[in-house]
Amino acid sequence: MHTTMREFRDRAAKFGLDRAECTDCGRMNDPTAELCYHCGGDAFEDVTLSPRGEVQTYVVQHALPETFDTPLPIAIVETPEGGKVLGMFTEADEPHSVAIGDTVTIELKRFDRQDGQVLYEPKFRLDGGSSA
Amino acid sequence: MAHVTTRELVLPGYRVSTGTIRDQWGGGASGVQHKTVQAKDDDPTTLATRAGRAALDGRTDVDAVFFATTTPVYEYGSVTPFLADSLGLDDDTHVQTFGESARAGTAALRAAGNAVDGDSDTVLVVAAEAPSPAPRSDWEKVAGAGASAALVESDGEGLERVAAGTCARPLLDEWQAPDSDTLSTADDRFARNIGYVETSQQAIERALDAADWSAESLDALVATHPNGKFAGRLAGAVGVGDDVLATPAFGREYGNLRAASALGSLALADLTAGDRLVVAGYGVGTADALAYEVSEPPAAASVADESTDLDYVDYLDHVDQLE
Repeated sequence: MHTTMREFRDRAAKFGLDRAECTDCGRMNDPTAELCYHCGGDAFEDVTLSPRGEVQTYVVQHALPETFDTPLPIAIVETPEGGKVLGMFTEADEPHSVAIGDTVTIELKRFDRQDGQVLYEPKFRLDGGSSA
Repeated sequence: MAHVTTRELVLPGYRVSTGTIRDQWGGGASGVQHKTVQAKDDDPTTLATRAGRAALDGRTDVDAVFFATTTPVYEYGSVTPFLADSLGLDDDTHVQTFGESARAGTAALRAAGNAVDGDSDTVLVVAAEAPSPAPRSDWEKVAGAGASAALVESDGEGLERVAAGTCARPLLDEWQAPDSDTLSTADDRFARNIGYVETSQQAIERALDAADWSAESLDALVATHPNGKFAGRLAGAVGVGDDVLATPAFGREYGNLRAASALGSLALADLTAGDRLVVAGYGVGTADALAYEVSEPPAAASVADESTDLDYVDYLDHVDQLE
């Protein structure tokens, strides 16, 4: 899909951390979902996730395209609302210091360039100073 | 009447000493000791998002976002709607971008005041810079990164705007041609005396006249800090003491944050209720000065990441100048 349309479609989830909470099972979905990924329900409430959460799991990625600095921790973070965000850490000077249970702040950061466009993604910063 | 009700400064967590840069290329001291440097995945949009979120603190009742930067992400194409979206604002929020010179931040602040005196209730002003100066250039020695923000509202406690003054002169003391990647600068002494100091002084004196205040009655002067020296000279020209100039070390410690400089200094200024202050912004021959009376000082706020000192090669990588 062309970069412009993909970025526009995904903007709510990436820029605003918006999610759709299924009113049947209470689980979070992408804000553009028409059916709940988990139970098939079709009724949702709009939820904006808090820009903070806890590391649920992570990997330290050592092989990535050369535009990324490696090693780079990539994690799934759960916010207080129960939403999960998959993303990279930012400013990962000490990538192996990440641990499950660490609390992080979720920030909008530059991710890559495509077709001359700057792409943004939510990334994680360890609370209490420099990230990772 | 326009009120500034919040003020924020975001400083990224990296810095480089100008001595490190001089060790590479030589040259004299710029009055800047360190300058702040963006993370590799930061740009004006991401820094502005952090400052904007801090200023809004969860609020979304904003009529307009005015974004000021001289280091835009695109030559053609606006990121201000992306900024508004990232702040959780609806797409009926008016967005406007200010640029061209370091005055952009105070130009946006002045426009926000005019807007809330007109058809808006609340305007978010955000200024951000993430420069990528050419190696060996004069601009490399001073260009700092950071973002500042202020919420301007028609009602509320904070800084109440009393008057404004301007001085706009056809004086091109800094310029960059479309086919050049290097900022050109007029002779420093000329730029300092006729440009920054005299033009800012004119704007400040016009604001003071409009407010019917004397320079002696000022409690704080907030100014653009192009380096570590000029703001002090401006304070002397205006006739206020060193104790009146807010954050005198701003340029020396963080560098030239251009559009974010005056608003950043405002975020750190030590203010108390009843104070009279002037916020002055200068860029390329033009200055704006805004006179405020403090009804209740918005909490001075800054978000400064733990700072890491960079060597020259790492610095070039951070500012996207490493081949």
